[in-house]
Amino acid sequence: MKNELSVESLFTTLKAENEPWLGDVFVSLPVFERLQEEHSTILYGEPGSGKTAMLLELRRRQKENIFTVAWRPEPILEAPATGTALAQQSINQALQTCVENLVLEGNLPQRLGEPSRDIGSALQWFLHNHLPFEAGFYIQNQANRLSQDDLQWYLKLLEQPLSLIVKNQTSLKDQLRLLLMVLRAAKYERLWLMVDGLERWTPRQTGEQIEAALEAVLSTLVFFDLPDIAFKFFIPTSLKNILHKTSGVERHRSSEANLTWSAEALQGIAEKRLGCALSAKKASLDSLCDGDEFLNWLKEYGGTSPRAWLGFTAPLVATYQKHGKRLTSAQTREFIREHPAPLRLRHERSEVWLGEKRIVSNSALEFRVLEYLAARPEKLASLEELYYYAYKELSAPPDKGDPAWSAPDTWRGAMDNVLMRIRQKIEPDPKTPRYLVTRHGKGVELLHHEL
Amino acid sequence: MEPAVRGLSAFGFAFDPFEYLDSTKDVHLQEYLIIPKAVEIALSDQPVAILAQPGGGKSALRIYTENFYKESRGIRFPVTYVPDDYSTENDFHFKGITKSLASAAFMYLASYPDLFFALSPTDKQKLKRLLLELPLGLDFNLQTLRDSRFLSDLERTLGSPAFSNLPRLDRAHHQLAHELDDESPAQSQPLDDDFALLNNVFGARSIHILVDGLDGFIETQSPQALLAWIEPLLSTLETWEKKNIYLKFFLPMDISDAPALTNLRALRAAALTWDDHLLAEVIRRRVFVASRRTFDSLDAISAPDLRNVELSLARQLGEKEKLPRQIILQCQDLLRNIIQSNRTEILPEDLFFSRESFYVTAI
Repeated sequence: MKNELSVESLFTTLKAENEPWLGDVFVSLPVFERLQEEHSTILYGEPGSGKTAMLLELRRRQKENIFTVAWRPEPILEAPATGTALAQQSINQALQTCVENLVLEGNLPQRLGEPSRDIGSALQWFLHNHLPFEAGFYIQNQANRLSQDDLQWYLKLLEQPLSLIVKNQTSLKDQLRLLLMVLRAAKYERLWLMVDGLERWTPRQTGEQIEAALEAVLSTLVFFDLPDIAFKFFIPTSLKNILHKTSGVERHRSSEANLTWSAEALQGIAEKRLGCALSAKKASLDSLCDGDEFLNWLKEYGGTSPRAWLGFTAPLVATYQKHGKRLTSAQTREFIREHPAPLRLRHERSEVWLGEKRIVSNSALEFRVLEYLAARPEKLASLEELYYYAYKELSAPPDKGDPAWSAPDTWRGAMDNVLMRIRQKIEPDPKTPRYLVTRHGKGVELLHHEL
Repeated sequence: MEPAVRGLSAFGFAFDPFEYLDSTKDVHLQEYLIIPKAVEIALSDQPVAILAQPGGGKSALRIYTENFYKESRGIRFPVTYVPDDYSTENDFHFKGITKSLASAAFMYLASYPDLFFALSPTDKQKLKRLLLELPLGLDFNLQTLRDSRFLSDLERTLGSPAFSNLPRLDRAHHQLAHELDDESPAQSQPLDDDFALLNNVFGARSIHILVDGLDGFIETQSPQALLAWIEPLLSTLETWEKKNIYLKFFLPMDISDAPALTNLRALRAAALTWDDHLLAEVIRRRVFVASRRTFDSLDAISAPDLRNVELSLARQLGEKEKLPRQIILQCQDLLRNIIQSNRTEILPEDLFFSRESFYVTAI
């Protein structure tokens, strides 16, 4: 590690594609070893579980004779095509990505030198038909990514009068075989197509159309079912059902794996990044604070998500750097009190979460109290407001004389009880609450809540 | 040496017997494939439908059959047809078969190049006519023939296997490319004439068309749709059988009850099914080949009190998981876990590891 990296970049802004140092902090898992094998593999993971990091590291460690292409499919929603025809459009997208990658990262001028006529014609055909713009224009616009010699090599190839190999009736599978030939001539024995970025689809688009488009992407497996091609699919767990419905997966000889992290592996991730932050060869959470308290807290609230573990560790690293020495047990306890896991409400399931830990509560009443407070961040709510919202489903307390109005002494005890029960469930120490705080004479406030 | 390879050699394996889930990529398939009695009809002279679950070994059997026929040096001539695409055009499958036939014929010629030089001018022209149907065209394939050093290069380009084990391509291949280039093609000919050409020119007494991969398309997921798609082929069964041309379908199991299939008298159907003992045998055979015939059971690399490891593994599989692909995967995980623990022996507790995070599709 040449430069010391900031805590924020190492622990908070986690985006694998923006982490050129990823190789230094990468923690391998058995599932990663499986990805490195020649089979097609489908890896399922929750958002933030490190799928993209796996993909990038896989590409980084790739052998010289394997050409890897990272494909982030775009939904084809306007097309009237369905079924296989739609899958073919997806293949065309994949082919475009392959050809672009080949031009920009394949080192073809060096690897091919003077290509034979058939390879030259094949490559020329791919350049003409599978680049996003007119081939000559595209190549000339890559001056910042290709050397002058490489640029000239491509332009010379495009100028050559070569015979047309691919005809209208040439199937996509034959086109892929042809692409493999070009790769083999360039001493790439295999093509690995890595599919990622399908998360982007789900929040924005739903419904049958997107399902059909996804099915089309996933059905491309059938077309890529060739001996020298392997698929590495990095897929959000939420898409598992759609994937299983597709014929591509049914037939394809691919193995599936879930990306899950043990506490030990998550600790490993945090400590590798800590080493970078502290410019130390090796660093452990122990070097930040005394005892196991922080680690146990991480295990309880960090769940199995690298993002949560790193996010929770970031302020501890900053505190350590500020103090310049290890925190004592008492200081660690105080740190945890000052930096509690964020509280989140999942409205669709009426669930309360602290960090990655789900709080068990079956009370709709309690959830409504939290919901009311969460909708008014940094504002105090009176017990009266909470009572009428939680019990009477009124957005504001009624006026005295309104039939819905009740005298405070009829409900105050009940409301105190509700607040006490909530605290017992969410507060690590209900006697000194950190989340549900009462400001005497003013009202109740919800702190450390995250939308 | 990589840890996995080192681990395997510590077990006494020359290669990983459980490496491939995909039989199309498995170079040792012919050495260790187990063929249940019921589906041996795949190797007989009649139209056949082999039915199996995904992962049940259809493609493995298809490849085995192809290799089995290849051994006859073209007397029983195999042609593999796996549709590249989905289309409802009437002659779609026949065009596909023509293309596959051209690939097989080209590979046959490349395997025995001298044969071409002795042909009559008419046969040469007819062959050239057929070879014009090659994927990516004849010119391209001839260029590949000129540029390639090994038969395997051509195999990879065409996705079609060679018929001989010629070490490398030589002058005869260049001469073949040259002559084919110069030859003028005959007039367009019907598919039946192409079949006749294989009989006359290559001495093929029977032609076995192995049809696989039909259920790979979104449109062919239902048994009815799949049957409707292959109806043109089913209706030629009897006519072709009379000419010793046998269609052999490798189909998904859920099609087995479809009346359109069961009512076909010309077609014999057999299901590729597996029980615990057969699955255990799948593993034993792989272990035997990978250990260079030194031992034939995982018991040999297990703790002394462990017996019948393969059978125990097979019995752990759920009813719907009793498939070769599943037990191979189970063994893959078993060996991987042991290698990762730096051990060289299977212990009783290894047989009860969790396979929750790794499982294969297509059950």
